Amino acid sequence: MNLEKAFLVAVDDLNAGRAKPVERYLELVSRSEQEELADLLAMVFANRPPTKADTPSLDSPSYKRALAALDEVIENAGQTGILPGTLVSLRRVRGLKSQHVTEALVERFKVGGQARRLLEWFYHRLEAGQLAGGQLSRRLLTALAEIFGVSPEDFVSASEPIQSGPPRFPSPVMARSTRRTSSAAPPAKSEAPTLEQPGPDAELVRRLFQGGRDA
Amino acid sequence: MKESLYRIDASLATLDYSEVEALWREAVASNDQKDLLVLARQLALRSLPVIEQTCRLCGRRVGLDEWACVLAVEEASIKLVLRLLHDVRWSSLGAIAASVARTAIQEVRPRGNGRAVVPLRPARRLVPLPIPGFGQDQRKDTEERQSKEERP
Repeated sequence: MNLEKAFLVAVDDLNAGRAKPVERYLELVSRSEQEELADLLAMVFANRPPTKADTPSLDSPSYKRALAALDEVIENAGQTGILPGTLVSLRRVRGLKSQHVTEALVERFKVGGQARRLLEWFYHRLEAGQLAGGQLSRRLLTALAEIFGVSPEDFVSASEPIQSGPPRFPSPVMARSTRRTSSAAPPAKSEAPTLEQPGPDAELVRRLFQGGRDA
Repeated sequence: MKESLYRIDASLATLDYSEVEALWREAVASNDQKDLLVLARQLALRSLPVIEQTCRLCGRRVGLDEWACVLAVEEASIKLVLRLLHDVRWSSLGAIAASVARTAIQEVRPRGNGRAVVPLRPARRLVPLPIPGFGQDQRKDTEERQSKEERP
């Protein structure tokens, strides 16, 4: 099948709400034309609003994982906004350990000596949602944004505190379980590591995590 | 919050995409973080087909396997929510979703150190507990077989 015909078949299927996996359409053309067809289809996807017909199968592995990831990001929203859940989820997707992130921060801010332990402790508290989002410095958020490939503004807005309480949307009346829904106790707060010689690096780390946006 | 999220999903399910977008723009204007978050998630969920198709298309072109595409979809959906928390300068949700998906493909594509794409391990796994008297014969057999193999 030539490129034009394959493209029209794909568009017809999309408009009729019976879109197949894209591989099926790419298989219709020769290998040399696949890239061009992929570009054309990407433009079509980008320019049409989502419709109900596009709803993916609930059994699709990517849908399940994306839904779980969004829940993981949002369900622990609190004083650090959704930043803790976002950091944990993106780290998991990338296969990174928190150590990889703290090493990158240590390198970026040239933190040396015992202050490294303090930075690790603060980062752990950040992922646990135990820091005030409004106190995180823009420098720190920018560095984290670079590590995870997002814009700094994304992390600034993600760290805005979320007030507890129900959203205003009406909820349909449904049978409810008798379990407490928000029974998760806040994690126990650990003490900051005591540094024998708190130097300028330790002060820098404190400013990064607790000094406010302009620190 | 998970249960309340699903209740909100149910209440928003009857709304058209454009109605959800209108509510989202209202939440951005009033800086209502809680509503904004719920509506950004809802828009991201509705954009999943675009994200998935784009990730498959672009992923295939750069030689990503199925698993890497799944990870890219996951990353893109998170990044789309982040973007929708503050960015109002878009007119087509499909376009912004496709753009985020294309970026995610670039981020997830395998790198030299192989760290970017690592399969998830299950959070919990079954640990066989020793049951007194159970399996001893098999263990004995295995030990005998191993000792025979070790002999020259």
